[in-house]
Amino acid sequence: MAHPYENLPATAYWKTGVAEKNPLQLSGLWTPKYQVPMDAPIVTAGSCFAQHIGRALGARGYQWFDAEPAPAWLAPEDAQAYNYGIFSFRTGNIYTARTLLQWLRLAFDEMQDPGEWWHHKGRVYDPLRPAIEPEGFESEAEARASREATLAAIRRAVERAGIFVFTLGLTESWRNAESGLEYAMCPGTLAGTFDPEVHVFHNHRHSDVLADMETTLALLKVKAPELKVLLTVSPVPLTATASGDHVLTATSYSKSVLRGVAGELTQVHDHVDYFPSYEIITHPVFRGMFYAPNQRSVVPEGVEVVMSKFFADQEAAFGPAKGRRGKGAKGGGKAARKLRTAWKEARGDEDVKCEEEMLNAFAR
Amino acid sequence: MPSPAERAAPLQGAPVPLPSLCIFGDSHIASVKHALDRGLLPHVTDHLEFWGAYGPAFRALEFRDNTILPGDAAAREMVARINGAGREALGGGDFAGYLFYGARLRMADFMPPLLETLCTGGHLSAAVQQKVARRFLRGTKAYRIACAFARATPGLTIAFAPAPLLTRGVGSPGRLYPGAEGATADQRDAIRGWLDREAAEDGIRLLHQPEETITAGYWTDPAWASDEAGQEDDPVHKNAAFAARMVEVFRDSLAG
Repeated sequence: MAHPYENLPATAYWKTGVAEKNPLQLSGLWTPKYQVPMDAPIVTAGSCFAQHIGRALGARGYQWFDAEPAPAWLAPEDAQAYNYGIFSFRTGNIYTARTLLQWLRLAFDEMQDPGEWWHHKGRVYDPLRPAIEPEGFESEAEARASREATLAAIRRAVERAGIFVFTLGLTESWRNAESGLEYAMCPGTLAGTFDPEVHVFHNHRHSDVLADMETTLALLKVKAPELKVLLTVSPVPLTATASGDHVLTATSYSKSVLRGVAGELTQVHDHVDYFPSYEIITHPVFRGMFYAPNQRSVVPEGVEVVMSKFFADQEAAFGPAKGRRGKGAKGGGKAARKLRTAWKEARGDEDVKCEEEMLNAFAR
Repeated sequence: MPSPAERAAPLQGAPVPLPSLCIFGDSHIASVKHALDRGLLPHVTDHLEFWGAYGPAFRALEFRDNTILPGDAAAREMVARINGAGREALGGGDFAGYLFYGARLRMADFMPPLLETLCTGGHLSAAVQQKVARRFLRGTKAYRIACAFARATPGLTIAFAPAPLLTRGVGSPGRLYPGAEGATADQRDAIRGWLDREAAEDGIRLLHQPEETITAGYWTDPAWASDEAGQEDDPVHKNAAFAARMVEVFRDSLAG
């Protein structure tokens, strides 16, 4: 009698899909639900691994959307130091589903800003992104104005994007016990002062993360009905855990929860997909070859393999990428430089004009 | 609005003229010369000289030992023609004051894209404002020379009038910064403030294009366009009245 495990493709069997293959030649790890067109604005946010995705998309000519570009005249090294061009907006890393939801709720006025700012040595730090300005802000007013600009950029990004890529990073977080505000980092580590009466640890459960992500998807659906969502899970282990568990098992818990939620959301929502960058980096089949000696950082070769599989699986499913090839980053970065070049060209051949002008004035 | 000639009339309480002044720059100093020739300039000095070059010859000017020198024969010939007083090299101590005019410090490259940022919801922290201002100013050779002059002779009067915004509707520049066309005087003032703070650190007084010459956010009003023959499609250079107005700004700055 025939059964469902007969006549499946080679990728469905461990022997033919994995065991008999060189790990670098594994293919078909992702069957994308939808095509990522080259001319669709792509927004990236999430934990630190998300920045590799944005950079790789831009390098391949996809329209990575920089909704909060570095201002003109800021040197590239300063732009990086001030967290421009890392993600689509200057939120810094968004590690948890709850902090993503907070950012979106703040951006769309669905949450009141608790007005909490951290102070250290006369400078002001944003608890939602304490590393965004290397030396902090000079005042609360400045920090608030900067936050408002980022919230505007988030609105712009959501409303204009075709695809929202979010990399889930952590389940562990710290919150304000009174306001419930979830911080980007534990107070006192990078900025702020830790107060055990105010700052409480929270390790999100599967149901927490799922609920926050469902709320996030519902909000996005209202604000941008056509927006597609692509989830990934960061393969970068925890730096440290406050859970009381060993950091290795705490990492397993965290990543398992996030991977489970991503899988569940993909099953439930047609417009949500999951790209397995997490598996490509972490799976035992790859023998840890994409990690640096600290067994935590992902080496550039690993990122390259991840992104080459992204593009290969897109092409396998839909053929060569469609849409007009973009100019890489849209809204800032390279696009801004091109704009400035166009401006300089448009003002004309100044040398020729100069000559005419000088000859007129100083002719003897 | 008073005519340029009326504005050029001596004012009560006007600052004491400098014993000597050198106006240094590129092709933009031609408009100052036109203003001088037409009697439009206010009295700011008892001895005025021009010194500079245009185009490739300006780029060929060299700076050594607190002195600007023509770097090749073409530059030497051009400097001689522009100066007309036989001054082959320009030393940092030769004059009581220096007005750097234009000299490749182009406000049209700096202000419009930053106005676009401010007008489209962007924000620059004070730290970032300082970085962009510093990069713009110190990335220009003439500005670095002005700084060197200031360092070498404390108390020297050194002012820098950046090349003005492009003229609206003249030549080929398109509307590349549509958001900035709604920029307000306050937003322009804010950007000028970033530059002023940096320049003050360097001992340089920046002279900004007056508000009444600006239109549509980031353009120079066409009323101030160059009116010299052959310059009809030139969005860069301005007329003698504009130069006279800028020298008025310089005069006012001398009053403190």
